[in-house]
Amino acid sequence: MLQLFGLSLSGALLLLDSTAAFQMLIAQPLFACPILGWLGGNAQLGFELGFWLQLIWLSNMPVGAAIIPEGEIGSVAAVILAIRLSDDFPQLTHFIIFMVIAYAVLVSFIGAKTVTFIRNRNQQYLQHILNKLNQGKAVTFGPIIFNALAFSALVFFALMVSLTLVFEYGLKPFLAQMPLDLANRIGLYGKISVLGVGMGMTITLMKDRRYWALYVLGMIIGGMLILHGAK
Amino acid sequence: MAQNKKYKKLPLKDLLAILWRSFFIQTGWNFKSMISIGFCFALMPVAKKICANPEELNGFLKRHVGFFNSHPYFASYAIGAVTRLEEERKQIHAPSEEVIDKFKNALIGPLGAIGDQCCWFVMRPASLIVGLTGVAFSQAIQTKILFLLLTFILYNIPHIYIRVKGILDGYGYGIDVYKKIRIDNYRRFIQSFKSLGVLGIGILFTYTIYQAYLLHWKVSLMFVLTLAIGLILRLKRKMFFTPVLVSMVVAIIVGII
Repeated sequence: MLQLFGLSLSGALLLLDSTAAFQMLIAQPLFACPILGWLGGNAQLGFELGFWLQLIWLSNMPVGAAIIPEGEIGSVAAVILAIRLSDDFPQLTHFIIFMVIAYAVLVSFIGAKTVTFIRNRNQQYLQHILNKLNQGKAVTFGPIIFNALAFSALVFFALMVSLTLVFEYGLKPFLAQMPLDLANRIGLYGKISVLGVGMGMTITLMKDRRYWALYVLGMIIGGMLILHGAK
Repeated sequence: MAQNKKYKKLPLKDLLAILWRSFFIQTGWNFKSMISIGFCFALMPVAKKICANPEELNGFLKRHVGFFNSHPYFASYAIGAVTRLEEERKQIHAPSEEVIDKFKNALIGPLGAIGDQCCWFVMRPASLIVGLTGVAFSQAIQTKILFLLLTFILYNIPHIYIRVKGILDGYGYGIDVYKKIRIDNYRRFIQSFKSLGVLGIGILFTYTIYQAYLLHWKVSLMFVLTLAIGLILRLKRKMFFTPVLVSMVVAIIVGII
C-alpha cells in the first residue's frame, strides 16, 4: 500500500507539469513512465511502457482550451498499475503491457473529466478573487496559486489510488486464470499492433511534401543504425 | 510634470520574479477567464511597485483578472508588454487603461496561433520523436537516460528562451511588440525542428519495420495491417482512440485464433 501511495503521489506531482505548471515535458509518457518505473523498482518496464504510450499519443497533442482524452493521466495510471501487476505476475509481462495500454486509453477519458472538474474548481478561485476585489479587500495570489496546485495534485493522487485499487483487485483473479500460452500470444500480437498503429499515426505528423527527402534520409540512417547494431 | 518624468526601468530582480511566476500562468486555468489568474500572478511584482495604494492595486487587478488567454510560453510577450505599458501609464499617464485593455485583447489571437504553430505542432512532437528514436535504438538503461536528458534539453532550451525573450521584448518594445509577434520571425525555428522531427520519423519507421520483420510472418502482417489502420484513420481525422482500439481488438481476435 505504501508503494501505491508513493507512486500515486509522485505521479500526481509529475502530472502538474501537464498544464498547471512549468510544462517542461516531464509529464509526457516518455519521461513520466521511466521515472515512475524507476521509483517502483522496474525502470525497464517504465521505459518500455513510456515508449509504447508516447508513440500512440504523439499525434494527439492538446491545443489551447480543447478538452480531449488526457494521455498523460492515462499513462501515469497505466505505469502504476503495470508495476503493481507485474510484481505478482512476472511471467505475464507482455500481456500486462498490452492490457495496461488499453487501460490507459480508458483512463484518458476519465482524465479529461478530471481536468474539467479541476478547471471548474479554478473558477471558484476566480470568483473568490472577484468578490474580494469588489469588497475592496487585498488579494494575495501566492496562496491561491498554491491551493490550485495542491488541489490538482490531490485530485490526481486520489484518482490514481482509487483506479489502481479497483483495477488491481479486479484484474488479479483474471490474470491468475489466464493460460500462459494465450496470454503470451495476445501480448505479442497486441504489442506489435500498438507499434503498428502508433507508427501509422506518427507518420501523419508533420506531413509535408517538401520534406520527403528527409523522410528517406531518416530511413537510410535508420537502416544504417540497424546494420551497425546487428554487427 | 509627470509627463517629463524619466522612464524608469524595472530592475532585473523584478523581471526574474515575473519570469518565475510566468511558469504558473496556467495554474488557475478556468472556463470563464482562462489564464487571467496566472497572468495577474505574474504581474504582481510590477503591480505592487506602480500602485501607490491598495485602491489602485485593486483597480489594476480588476482590469487584468477579467479575461486573458494565450499560449503559455508566448504569454510572456503580453506580460512584458503590459508591464511596460502599466509603468508608462503610471509615469506619463499614457496609454490609457482602455488602450492597454484593447492592446492585451488584440494579442490573444496572434500569441495563441504562433504558440500552437511553434510549440504544440512542431517543437514538442519533434523533440519527443528524437527521444523515442533514442530510446528505441538504445539497449542499456544509461543510454536511454542520456537520450531522455538530450530530449529534455532540446525542448527546454527553446522553451525557456521563448519565455525570457517574450518578457524582454515585451518590456523593451511595449506597444510595438506586435512587430515581433509574427510567424515569419519563427519560420527558421519551425523549419529546423520540423526537419529534425521528419528525420526522426524516418529513422523510427525503419526501426519499427525491422522489429516486425524479425518476428513471425503473421506478426509482421499484423504490423502492416495496424500501420495501415493507424495511417488511414488518422488521415481521416479520427481521434487517436479509434485506430488504437480497432487495432487492439484485431490483435485480441488474432491472438485467440
